[in-house]
Amino acid sequence: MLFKMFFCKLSCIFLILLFINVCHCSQRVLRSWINPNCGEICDKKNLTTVWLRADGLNDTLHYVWDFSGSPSVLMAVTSRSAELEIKWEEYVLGKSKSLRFTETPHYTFGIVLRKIYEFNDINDTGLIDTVDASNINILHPRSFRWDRTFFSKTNELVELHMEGHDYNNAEDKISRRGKIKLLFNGFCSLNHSHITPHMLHSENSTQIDLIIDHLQTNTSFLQSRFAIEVLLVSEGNSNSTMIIDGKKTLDDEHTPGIFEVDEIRTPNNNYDNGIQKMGAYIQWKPVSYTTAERDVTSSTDLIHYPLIVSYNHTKAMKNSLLFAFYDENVTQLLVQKINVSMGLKGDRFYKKTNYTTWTFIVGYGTPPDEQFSYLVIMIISIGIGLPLLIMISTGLYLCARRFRNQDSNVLLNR
Amino acid sequence: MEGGVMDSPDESLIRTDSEEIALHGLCSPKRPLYRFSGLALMCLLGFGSYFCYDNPGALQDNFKSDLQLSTSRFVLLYSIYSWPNVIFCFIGGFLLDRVFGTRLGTIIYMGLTLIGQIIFATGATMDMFWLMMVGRFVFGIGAESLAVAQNNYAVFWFKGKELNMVFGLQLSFARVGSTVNFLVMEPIYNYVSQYYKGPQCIGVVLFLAALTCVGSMICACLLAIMDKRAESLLKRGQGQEKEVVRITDVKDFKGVFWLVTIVCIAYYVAIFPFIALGKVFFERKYEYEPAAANTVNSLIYSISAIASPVLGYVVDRTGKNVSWVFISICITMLAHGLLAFTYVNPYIGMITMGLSYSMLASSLWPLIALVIPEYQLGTAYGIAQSIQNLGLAVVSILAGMIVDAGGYFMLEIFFLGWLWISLITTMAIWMLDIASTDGYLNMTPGQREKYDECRKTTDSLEREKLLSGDSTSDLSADDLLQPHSDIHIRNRYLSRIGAPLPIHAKGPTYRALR
Repeated sequence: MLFKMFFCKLSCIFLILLFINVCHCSQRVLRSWINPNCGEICDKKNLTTVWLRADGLNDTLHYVWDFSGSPSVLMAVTSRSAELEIKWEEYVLGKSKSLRFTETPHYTFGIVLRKIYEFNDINDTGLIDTVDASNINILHPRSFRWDRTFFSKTNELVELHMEGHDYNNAEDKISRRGKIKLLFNGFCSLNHSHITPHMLHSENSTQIDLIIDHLQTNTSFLQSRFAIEVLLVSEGNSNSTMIIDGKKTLDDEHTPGIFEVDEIRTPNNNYDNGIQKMGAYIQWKPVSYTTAERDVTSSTDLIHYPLIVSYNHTKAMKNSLLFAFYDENVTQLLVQKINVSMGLKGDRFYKKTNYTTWTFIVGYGTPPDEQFSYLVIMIISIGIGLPLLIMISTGLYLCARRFRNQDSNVLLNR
Repeated sequence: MEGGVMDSPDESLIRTDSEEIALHGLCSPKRPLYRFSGLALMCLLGFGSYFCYDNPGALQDNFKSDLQLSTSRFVLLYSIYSWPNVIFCFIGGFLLDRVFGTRLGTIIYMGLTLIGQIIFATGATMDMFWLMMVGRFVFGIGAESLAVAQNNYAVFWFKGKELNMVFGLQLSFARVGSTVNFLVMEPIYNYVSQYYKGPQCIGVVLFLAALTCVGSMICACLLAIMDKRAESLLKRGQGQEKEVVRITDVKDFKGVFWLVTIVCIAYYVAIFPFIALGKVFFERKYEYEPAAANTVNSLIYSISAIASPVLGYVVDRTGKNVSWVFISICITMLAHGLLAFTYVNPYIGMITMGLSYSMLASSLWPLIALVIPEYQLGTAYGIAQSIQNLGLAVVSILAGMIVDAGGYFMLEIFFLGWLWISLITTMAIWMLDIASTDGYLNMTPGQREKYDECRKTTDSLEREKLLSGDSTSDLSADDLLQPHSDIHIRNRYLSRIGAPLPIHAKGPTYRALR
């Protein structure tokens, strides 16, 4: 009887959980296009510019993933009716204002993967800022040949795989074999990504996974490691600063062995009419995987460095989608850079596996909070509930027996 | 159980003059000095095996990076130690009693331990995982059986004297071995890594660790010489009948014993596999440097080294074992909870866990002695130990897989689950005990004495009844319910034919009826 009740409860919980899960995927509807309204120009030039729109109830989030220059992402929040317009002839020449939305966005945010640093970590510190300039090579991601290897879209998930290979930079006379891969994901709901480190994403975010896969290293560098420079551009007061923050978590269930989430949030600005405006964030776990299997043992640290303010906006955004979007004269623009390096003292450098990753989320609003998984909650509630149930039922049984005994005693006493 | 009974020549019953002199000399086996130097050797005997057992744990990171082992493969190094001992714990003890004798057995097992460690180190040097596994296998067989031999020695030398203290000290010293290992291995590794890299470095460090086994081997030999001398001078074990325990006794063990065994498994799997994986946990969650992580991780051992004898004394005085077990498990759950659900300084969690662990060890193991007659104790402890090894082996593998797939948080939840099982089982023991023996296990020593006296009186009453010749009273309700052992039936037969009962038959001594 007791067990029956227990299982009944359990199945109820399951049903509720199932219901929650099913309900999840209706928060935003995803639609996406490759090179919208471009035609021949893009095919000729092998361009990839993906426009992804995520329509919610009150607003639309637009993402533009672009590879015409340095790999960049533009995120814009507009009303539901806004469309993206690209003047392709101007756009391929990298002219400013060649990309715009039909309505002025409420908020925009952009990132550019500007540089890849290869540094010779002579003292095995894992830190790029301890290395002098002669031990650093700068690679420009736009000098890779970018190919689209995979693209899939549904209303729930959009996935784009890009592969950059045959690096060749005429100015620096550097060419490299090997490739870097970029995996973009667009989401419609709050969930964990299927790619380890299983970042928690909301319907307001997109995930970028960077893999430096067997990229040829400088032959004169014996202890090469890689670092990335990312440019972050947010609408807002150029005198304010973004906030970089590391949060400790209790639960490493989704990313075994990692108990920290690092994030950069843009300052929340007051809008004209006094309503707090939401900003953007990027978020990552300080882990870089060194094999494609991505388990705890094949991981190393991801180290980030302080944010740097960039005053020359034009120079910073040159050769990227953001230059084509933002007006050169915009003053209300906060432009900052951050460096992230992969590797940890004693991990035997990039050459050990010739594979290193960085996975991060770009999102709008506040980052979602990690919660205990259903499994954990279920185990804990069984752990606490079952002994309670046993105790209560034992108590009831004893009470009942005593009561019955008393009853029979009463009868005897008569 | 009796070490060299078979070797003793009959004529030695009469003491020679030279022996007389030796008995009264400075090195007389009767003097405390002789016994306590023996005790020191007994403690040092286990040092090497306990030191080397946790070598991989202390160098977990280095093992994984230098030999490129995944967590699951790393944990295999511990499983291959535990797995064979699910059976070998039995066989080792059995061979010790029946074939080798304690002295030779100790030396043989110590030798196996040493050889195992050397194979292990060789395997590491050559970066051959299978050879390392072979090494750990041989090491495990040696080390676990060595523990049995160590107990035998303690019983021979200290029975009826300071046996409890000696057991406590042996346990403490084992922990000292582990603690020293955790403290010392990291610096040694760092030193050696200046000269060797990769697998060679691990290999060299393990060879250095093998020196502790060489030291223990010397102790084993010295102890054998001292024991031989003591035996021949004190005429130990002569004129006694050889007692033999049979495997079939197992089926008569009480339900409480099996429940205690379950607690043994469920509790210890939440401790030892945790320590095996703990170092990286502290590095990852609390961002400790490897050396600091080792220190926190080894706290349980350091604390139990100090607390075990003390808490053992406390339990001896207060009794109430089941309550103590219950409290210990609750506190351990609290400690694991602190580590899982908070960022409170891990020292707090680990000290709490260390104390509760020591308390549990002191209160749980004597339970077996309270429910099992003395002559079956060896077998009972053997079974408990073997099953515990089985649990540890399975759970170690599971724990590695859980960390790889679900992280350390899930691992903590898993351990809490096991503790929960042990808590429920303890409640079952409590109830069963109240129902069957009026809560004997949870009495104070004084209450137990009274209870035993009462029981003796009822026993003698029954005997009188039996002797009265009233054949119908022969089958009491109690008789019908309880299964009879051979000795029970024989004694009843003797009573009925009017023969005097052997005095020791009333006590818990055993003789095989064949």
